[in-house]
Amino acid sequence: MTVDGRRERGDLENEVLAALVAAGRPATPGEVLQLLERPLAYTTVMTTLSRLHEKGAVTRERAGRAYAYATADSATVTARRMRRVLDGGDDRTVVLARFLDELDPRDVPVLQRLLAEAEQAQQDGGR
Amino acid sequence: MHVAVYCPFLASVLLGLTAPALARRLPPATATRLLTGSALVAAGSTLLAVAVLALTLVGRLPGVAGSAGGSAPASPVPAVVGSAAAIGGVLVAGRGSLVALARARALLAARALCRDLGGAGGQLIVTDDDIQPMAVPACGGRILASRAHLATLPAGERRALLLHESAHLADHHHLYRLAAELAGAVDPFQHGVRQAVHYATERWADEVAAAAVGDRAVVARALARSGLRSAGRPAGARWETVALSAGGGDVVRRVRALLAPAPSQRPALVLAATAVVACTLAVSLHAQEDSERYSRPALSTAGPHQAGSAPLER
Repeated sequence: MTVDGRRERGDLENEVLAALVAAGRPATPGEVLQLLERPLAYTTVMTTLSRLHEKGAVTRERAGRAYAYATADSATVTARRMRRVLDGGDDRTVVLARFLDELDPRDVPVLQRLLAEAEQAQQDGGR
Repeated sequence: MHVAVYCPFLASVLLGLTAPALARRLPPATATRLLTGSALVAAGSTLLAVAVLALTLVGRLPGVAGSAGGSAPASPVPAVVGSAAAIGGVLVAGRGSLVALARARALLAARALCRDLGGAGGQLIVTDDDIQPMAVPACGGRILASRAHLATLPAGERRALLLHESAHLADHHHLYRLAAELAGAVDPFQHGVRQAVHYATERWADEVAAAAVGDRAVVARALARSGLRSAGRPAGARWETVALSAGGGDVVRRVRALLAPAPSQRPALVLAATAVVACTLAVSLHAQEDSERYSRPALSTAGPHQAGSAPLER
């Protein structure tokens, strides 16, 4: 598999895991497919969940004819374990790339307006 | 040697001032590479110029200058300049070392964390504590995101967030950020480049995510919603490092950039900038060569034990 192919697979696994996390309850592949809200093949979702199970990121239990998948406890971590990296007087933002840095409170109304604008565009134009 | 050796300083100032403005007009991937490359060249040239100036002090040492019998040309560089360069050189070398050490520690700590957490390259690790989502560039890369944050975003925006972090890892953005920071540490004129590269790599990841999803507005919404969420939270967990912020207006700028059309390539601009950088390099190397005419004769006539077997003529 190419580097890109591996990365795409990894991205899909993350996406599926994140969907399970957001759902907060066990889900079958069919339910996960709905949670993802995009046109993927059922088999793709099933394969991805199997891989996540092999990695120990999710657990599964029989639920009728299908499995119900849930995030494994080991997949989540507590603050105590992260303190080593994220704590410290040094500026770690050079090494750790955070999605966004501290937000200036004055930017809040601007962001609210931009978000509303973007949501309106979604309703109007679709994708 | 006279003027030429001072040119790197001038070029460095120019690059430091113009690069961030230039970066805003270029696609972020190009901007990142150009900014980092020019910062490294500028910093390297400045260091070289500082070294050359500092070395002229050697030619002024009593034992060295006197024995030449006045036959070697006196260095046109005043002693005070040479001394200032020597002191400055030591200071920035020290600062650069401290920064390099601190970042090396950060990388080692990140690696230790990844080993502790397990998982594979590029894998998402979910946290119970409400941290900002982030990419950790160790052990093949990890993405950290909190349960609460993931639950806040709708599916499409969740995907956009994860693809953004994945892009940071896949394109090794931390290397560019480290290089820019080091350049800024050893060359004060490049101080603004660190923030410019930080912003450019964020925009780069935004654009990669937008291309993968096929919808720029989704990424914009993910960013805006995440920003509003973080604003609504009480001040972040104490152990979440904030130190230097990249600038409060960055989130807004990024959202606006995503709601606007994708930036187009500007080959003329890139060519011009590259030419300036290349000239800086050429000038610095020339100045370095030139300077040896003023230091070498003094060194070699002082006696064979003073210097290596460098020829008198170049």
